[in-house]
Amino acid sequence: MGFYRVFKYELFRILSQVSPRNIFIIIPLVTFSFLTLIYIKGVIRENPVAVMDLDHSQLSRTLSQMINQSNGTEVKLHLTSEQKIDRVFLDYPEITAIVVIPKDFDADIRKGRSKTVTIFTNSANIVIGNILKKELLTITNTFAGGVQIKKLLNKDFTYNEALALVLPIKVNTHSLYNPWYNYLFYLTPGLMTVLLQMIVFFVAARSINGDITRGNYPRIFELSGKNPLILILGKIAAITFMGMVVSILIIGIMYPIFGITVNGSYLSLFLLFFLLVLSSAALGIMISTIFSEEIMAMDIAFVYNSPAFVFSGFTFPIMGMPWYDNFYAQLIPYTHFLKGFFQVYQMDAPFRYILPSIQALLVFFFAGLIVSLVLLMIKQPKLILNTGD
Amino acid sequence: MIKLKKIGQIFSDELKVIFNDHSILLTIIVAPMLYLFFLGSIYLNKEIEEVPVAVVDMDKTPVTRQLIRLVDASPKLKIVQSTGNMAEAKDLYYKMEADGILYFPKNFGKKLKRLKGADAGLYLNNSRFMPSNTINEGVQTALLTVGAGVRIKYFMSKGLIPKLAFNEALPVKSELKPMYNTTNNYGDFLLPGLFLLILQQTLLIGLGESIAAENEKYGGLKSGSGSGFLSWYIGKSGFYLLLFFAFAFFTIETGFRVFDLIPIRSTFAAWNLYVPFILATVNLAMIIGSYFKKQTLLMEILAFSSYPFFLVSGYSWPAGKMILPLQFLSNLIPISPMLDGIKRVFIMRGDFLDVSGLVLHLWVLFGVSLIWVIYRFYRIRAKEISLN
Repeated sequence: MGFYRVFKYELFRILSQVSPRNIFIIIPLVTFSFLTLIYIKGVIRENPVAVMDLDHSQLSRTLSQMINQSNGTEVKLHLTSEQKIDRVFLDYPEITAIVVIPKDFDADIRKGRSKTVTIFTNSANIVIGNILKKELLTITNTFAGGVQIKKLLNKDFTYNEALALVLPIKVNTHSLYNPWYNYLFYLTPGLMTVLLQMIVFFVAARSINGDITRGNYPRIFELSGKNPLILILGKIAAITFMGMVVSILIIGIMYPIFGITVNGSYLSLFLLFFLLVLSSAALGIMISTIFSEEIMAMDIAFVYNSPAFVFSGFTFPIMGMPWYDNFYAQLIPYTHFLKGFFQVYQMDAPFRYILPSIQALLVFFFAGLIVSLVLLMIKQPKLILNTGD
Repeated sequence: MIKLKKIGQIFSDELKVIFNDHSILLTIIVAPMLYLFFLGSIYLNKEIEEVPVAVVDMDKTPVTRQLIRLVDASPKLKIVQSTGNMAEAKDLYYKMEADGILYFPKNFGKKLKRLKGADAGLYLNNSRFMPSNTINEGVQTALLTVGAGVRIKYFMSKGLIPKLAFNEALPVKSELKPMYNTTNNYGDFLLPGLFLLILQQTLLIGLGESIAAENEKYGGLKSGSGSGFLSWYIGKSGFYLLLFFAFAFFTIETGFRVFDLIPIRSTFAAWNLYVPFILATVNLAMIIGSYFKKQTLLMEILAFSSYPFFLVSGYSWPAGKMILPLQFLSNLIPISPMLDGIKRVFIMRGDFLDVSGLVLHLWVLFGVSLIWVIYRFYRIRAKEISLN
């Protein structure tokens, strides 16, 4: 009964106070919609490309046309030989790549001399740089293959023989789960979940110290049947309940609206969300028992949570980080959640593969719970005394 | 009228506020340094090496073994398992201990030798783009090289000398030259942007908290009582300006070098961006802070603004590819022109003329936000007077 009374009290606190209500309702709605709208176009198509055609031949024009007709690129600028390559990206900020077709391109190829097409990408933005690198290399390799096949056909090869010689090894690439490199499906689900951890953590970080500051601690202590464990569990349960409402908003509303599909089991996904929320709530409560100043607890929550996305290995793999950053990454629940999240959301991996993530998240939960309990039991007499019970 | 004594008094009062408020102190002094170190060090290695790949070799011929050795020789890839069993490779893949599977079917070697077109399969875990791209590039490069070698050998067998055989085998070559970030690494790309985001967010939260705390404690701007706007503005923002100009100096002169970023060409251009950026951010902090009656509430809201501010700035995802209202919003936030400018100065090594439009953009933001700050100052003061 004590558990239920604390649960009800905490739920009422969350829904009646401006701050937790904002964090659980307004912030998810605004930030999730905002992030999704940033990536609504998902794939960057028709990147403006400049061509410096020093040959002006039929063959060079064919290559130029191929670049223009590709989905990922569009020829927006024709450069002259006088223009300096190193100034183009500064003078024409919209241009993302330059393709230089050398002089005597057509004639030399006909004479059996090898020619090089040079591709300059503006890799100051690595996202665009990588897209163009892939796109333009595919175009030029296809073009080169076409030229070779044509030459071999002129030497009495059959089409199949020519193709086999041009492509002796054919790599059938299967880019699984997100073949079009759609950023809406890649980044947005991750950003929403890292914000979920932050949302839960922030509310929990002000839960116990907030009650102490407002003089409500003796009341909630009474409600728990004077049992600190029940008090903590009741609070964690209420915060987790609200966290799961936000999880339903993510999985049940945001994903379908924006066409983000889950490849794996929804049950496993909900379990992972539940454990992320549960462990974040426990760690937040722990911070709340350590720091009596609410604003200080929030600062700690901010410092701890803000870089979680960068440390999680989402964009840059953990194995590429120095050991101390790798170690810090392991101290954040989101890092462990993310692995399981990918395994379910994208890879549809069998349940046994997400067990390590589940175990890690449970360790965070129990660590938070035990430290909170010990600290609360130590502080207990003082808290009751100070609030005049 | 500017009264130096009044400015000095407001300045020293603000110092007391900062050093007595652990939250502001942590936000504006400890957090930027901590973040600069931690985030900077993440990308210290800059490029990822040895991305794990599993190989399923159903052919087990010298040809496939040679190909596997070639793929493994790439510094960016590491063959973590070579097996004849797809289930074993899948196990590693599902554990995320291999980011891709390279598959050689039976008779691969035979088909390659007879030039019958040998098919290999490459299965990429595209849930994260970076490892997937690295494997794709590494495997394709290795197999295209082998393909070219097969063609050269074929033409030589037809009596061509090596040079002519090479020309016949590779009539058109492509050479890729990524500019400004030649190795396409994340560190050079992200670090300047992240550093700037840290500066903006910590300044917004720190100064915003100080103003919101005044609202909370005194129901108005106590620091502004009995002073004109300019004295209050200089006194209140003075320490933040000094501190954040010091951070700016550190990032321009030292910080970026510590993390081995390309040295900038024009320090003049960098300062021309930093000065209006910090001033506009100070104004934004004052405006936001003035609307909050609780320090904690401001902290909560701004804590959740870091990701949206960074992503809407257009630094990673081009602003031009966003919907129009977001493009408009992006232009109103100081970090957007700042990041564009920093990219041009720090990464693309441009000079002042290359960022003059962005400098103007930042000064316009500063001017408009200053008018707003003046409005808020007098509005709050009028409220205080009417209440008294």
